[in-house]
Amino acid sequence: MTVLDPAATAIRLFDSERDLHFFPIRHHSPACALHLREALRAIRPATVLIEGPVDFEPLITELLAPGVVPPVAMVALPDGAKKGRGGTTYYPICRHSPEFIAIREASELGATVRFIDLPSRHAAMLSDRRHRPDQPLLPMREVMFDRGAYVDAMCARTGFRDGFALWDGLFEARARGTDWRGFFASVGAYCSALRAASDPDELQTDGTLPREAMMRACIQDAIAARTGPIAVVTGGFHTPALIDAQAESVRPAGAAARSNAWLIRYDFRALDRLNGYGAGLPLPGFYERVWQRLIGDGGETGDSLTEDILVGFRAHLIESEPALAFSFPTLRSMVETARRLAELRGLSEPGRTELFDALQSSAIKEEIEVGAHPLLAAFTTYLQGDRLGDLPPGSRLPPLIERARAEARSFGLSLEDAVAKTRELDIYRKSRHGQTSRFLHAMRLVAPPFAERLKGPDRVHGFRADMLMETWTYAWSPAVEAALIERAADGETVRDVAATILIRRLGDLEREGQCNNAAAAFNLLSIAFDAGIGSAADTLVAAVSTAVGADTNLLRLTNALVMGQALDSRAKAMQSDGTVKAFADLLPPLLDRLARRIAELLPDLAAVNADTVGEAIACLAALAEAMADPDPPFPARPLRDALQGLMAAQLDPQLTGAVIALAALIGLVDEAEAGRRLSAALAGAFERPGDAIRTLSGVMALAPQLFVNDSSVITAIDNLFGAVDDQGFLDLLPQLRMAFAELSPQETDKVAAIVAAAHGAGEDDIALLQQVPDARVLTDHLALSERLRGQWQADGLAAWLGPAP
Amino acid sequence: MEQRNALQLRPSAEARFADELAALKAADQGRRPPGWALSARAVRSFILGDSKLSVRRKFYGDDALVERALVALMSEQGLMLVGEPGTAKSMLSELLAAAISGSSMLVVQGSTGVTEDHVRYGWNYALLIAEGPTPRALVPSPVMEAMRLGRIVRVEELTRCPPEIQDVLISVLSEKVMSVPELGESASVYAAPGFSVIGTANLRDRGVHEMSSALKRRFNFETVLPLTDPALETELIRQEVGKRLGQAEIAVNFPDEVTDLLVTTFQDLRRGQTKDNVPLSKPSAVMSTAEAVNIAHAAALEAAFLGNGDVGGAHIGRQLQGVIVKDNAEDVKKVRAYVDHIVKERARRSKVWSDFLGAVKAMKDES
Repeated sequence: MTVLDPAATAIRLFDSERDLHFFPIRHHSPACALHLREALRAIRPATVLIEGPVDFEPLITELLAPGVVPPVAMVALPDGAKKGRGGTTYYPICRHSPEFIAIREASELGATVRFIDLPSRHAAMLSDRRHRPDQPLLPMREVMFDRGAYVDAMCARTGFRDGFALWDGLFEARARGTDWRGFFASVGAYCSALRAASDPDELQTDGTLPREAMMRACIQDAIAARTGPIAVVTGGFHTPALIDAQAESVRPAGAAARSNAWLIRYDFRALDRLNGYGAGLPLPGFYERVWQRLIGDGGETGDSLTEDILVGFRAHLIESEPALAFSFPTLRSMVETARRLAELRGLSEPGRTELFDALQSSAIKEEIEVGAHPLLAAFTTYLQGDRLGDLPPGSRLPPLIERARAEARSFGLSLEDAVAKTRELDIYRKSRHGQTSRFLHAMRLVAPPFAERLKGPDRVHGFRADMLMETWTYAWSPAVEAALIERAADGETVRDVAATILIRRLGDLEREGQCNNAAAAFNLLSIAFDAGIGSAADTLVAAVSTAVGADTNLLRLTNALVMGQALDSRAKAMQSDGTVKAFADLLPPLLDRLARRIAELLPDLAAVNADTVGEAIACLAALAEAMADPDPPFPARPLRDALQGLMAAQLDPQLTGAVIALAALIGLVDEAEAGRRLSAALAGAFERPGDAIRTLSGVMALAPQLFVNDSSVITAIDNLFGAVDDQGFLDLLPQLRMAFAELSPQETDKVAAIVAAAHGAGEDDIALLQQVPDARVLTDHLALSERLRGQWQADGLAAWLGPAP
Repeated sequence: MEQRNALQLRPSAEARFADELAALKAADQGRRPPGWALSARAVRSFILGDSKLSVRRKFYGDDALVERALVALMSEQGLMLVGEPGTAKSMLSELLAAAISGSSMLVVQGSTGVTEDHVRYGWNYALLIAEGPTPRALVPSPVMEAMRLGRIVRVEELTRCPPEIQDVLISVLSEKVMSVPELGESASVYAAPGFSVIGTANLRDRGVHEMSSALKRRFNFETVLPLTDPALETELIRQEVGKRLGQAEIAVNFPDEVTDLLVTTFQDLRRGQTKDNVPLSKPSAVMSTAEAVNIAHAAALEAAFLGNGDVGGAHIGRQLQGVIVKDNAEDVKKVRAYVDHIVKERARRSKVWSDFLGAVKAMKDES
């Protein structure tokens, strides 16, 4: 709502005497881009100096190659030797980035383009108060535009709600003007004020000052070698520190360092995520639309930008989230609201903030919880945009990406487009399919967006371990490349990086105090197996071995045993492959250790009580699964001995049942013996029918067939019911139901037939019972029979009750 | 209705801020929407303040909300202010009406007892019997008056009106006409430019009715949230209490530290979290700024009439009980936990907090 007085700064920005012109910009600002384009066309500079890491200079040619479609990003990978000094450096470029426009215009004018910032991996570019060591690094960070005393004061005075709205209102709204000098003068004045209000200490610690020393030195060099006008395009925040550059031209130490820099495809979603780190204006999809309109691209429809966006958003909702879509009259009132808001706020046309306000005001007919509403979130995503950048075929790529692509192609995976494709793999019988599977598993670790397994053997529970085929979907997209870039510092091949990731996860386990978690460690090992990472096998096996020794949790150990067994059987099935062989050799000693450890801990189960019995039962179930193998890859003897000991001990009733069941399952006792023991346990508990039922449910959890096949057990249970009255039976009923839920319908029928036979009922009686609609009807009918019987007896008709003659 | 300021407990907004409105009108260069007393920008200044014209800020928190509200009123839509009790919804609607129409007196005070007469029109039965249905016998509702005069009518607590009464507003807002069939086939009152409806509603309180979606469609909704900025809330409380005490010509010493204590306590309990992110259980009682003002006011009165004129932590502590216990016993437990853990800690370092602790504890023991 105010116009900055440009006079003071304007004179200094465009120094016609030295023919040196400063363009203070904000990254990704369409208004800056458009005015810059006009300015460069007017000035026709011979040299264009741009704030960009000097080691990215070689990428300028690549950026100008035909076939490059922004968003793309210049990236530099962290130096493997200096771990922990920041993540990957990103220099994202959109169509509407002033830097991109400057480079393009300069090339058309035949001017020289130089980058004048410190090298991307220079200490000053890394020294930044960061919370996470692998956070992305942005040479173009500009958080000072978003917060700070000056921004707050300006917002309070002008009525804009935050730094972004302030920028939009002051500068983006002036994009259509023709006076580029006035525009940049205003930006310059604004930025000088921002600069004046910022903390000098912070400028030193965040590396701003050394970077500006570098920029000044580069400007001096350019002046010395001048062949014509010079244009300097930098973040507006730096401009005030560059304008007065005179004698000083000492480059900071390390300014000549080079790094591995690459141009990669990028996408708007990733770009907007970087905004969390202060990368520039948010919602790149919105500003790209603004830019297209400014340069008259994308077909003049006669509609305003506001209409275009809101109509487009409505269509998008109808298609993808119909529940959120709003009506046409609402749309019309939204457009009107946006216009009036712009007018009220003194803007020539509605901007980003007005669109959000109009949406909120017109379309949301309910209370909004502190700014959050699904419709507003959907609009944010819509304006974020989903544009994917592109590079011409054959572009130079970082080694990890190159190798991943090459390897994928060597397995016959199609990478031509981003459409998801499906692949079936016969992993045991065809060695190439096995290799492909391992590659895809490794890619799951390194670049998760690439592939997903739809079907296949379950590694954790050994469930469907005998499954022969795997089904995968996969698609190569910029998101995959971005994920690979994130990992590029960890190694040059997919397998190396996957190994690093696994070792790191192992480290995470240790940090979380989980180094005694046998199941978690074994899980990592089985991932390594799936991905065929032989190099990590030794480390992981050692870690698992330690974990096994330290783990006192029987459930985790038995789960690990199940996993290990599944792994072993698959390793045997695949033995043809070399990397698999490494695992196949390492597994038996590990399983041996695991089995002995479990045997050592099994006697502890004697101390289990009713509260903890659930977990104990789960252990025994896992053990039953592992020991069902007639030729287990681990010594069964110690386990059997330990179980024998348990059978002799006084246990929780439920556990007693489970132990008997397990013993029968693994042939420690035969079924008849198990039946006897069970009947004895049940009979012994007749005074506490609740315990008897718990014993029964212990059996059911592991081996329901034991109960079904042995009528002596059923008889024992039946006797038990004889001992309780009706109320006692009702009390037991819930527990009984739970216990019997383990039976299949056929088994239930079988039990019913045995019980019925024991009580002298025939099959006909059961069939009759099955026709009774529900228990209440049965009760009513039984009561009626009883009354009739009493009546007949009272009437001396007892003879009628006997069988018909 | 005649306004007799001196005798009114609380004069209307247009009376209280007559000078500011006059100053804004004199300086107003903007285009006025049809039927409006001021331009939209002048109304914005009236509510959000304009230091050049020494117009005080009256609504704190969300400036964009005020702008959206103004735009809604300029369009065909009504404006619906929703939110928890005590978030200044009614005040905002009063200010908007005063600045836009020059009068905030056309009000329907919503309750279950509201009948169609309050929203459409009624009759003077003596005249009706004597003369039959004539314009003279007709008693217009505030809504009808607003339509005739091109003003804003406020409907307070709209969701407390029975649904069939709420729905009278549907056709009024869309057709902008109210027919009076008793006066003849073509007898209708047409809305003059400037007519609009500002509703306030609570969508979640006990005893409120659902709004029909047809009615919702004719309103733009704005959610008024409690203040989250302690500095703003402090300023607001200080201003409001100063004004109330000034009117009654009472002078007390109200130290900043005491206001801070009040605001901190309210913000902590309202958010269910302290400034240092210690989680608390949130009481269900309404902890609005309006309640805080009431507490501060009562504390000041106690200090003035029963004490030596210095407001301290103890005064606030005694008044707090009144707000919390209003609703339920659960809340008392929650506040007790807050006092035992958080306040006790603070009391070690500050006299005001330890006075506060003492007062709250004394009350607890009694109860």
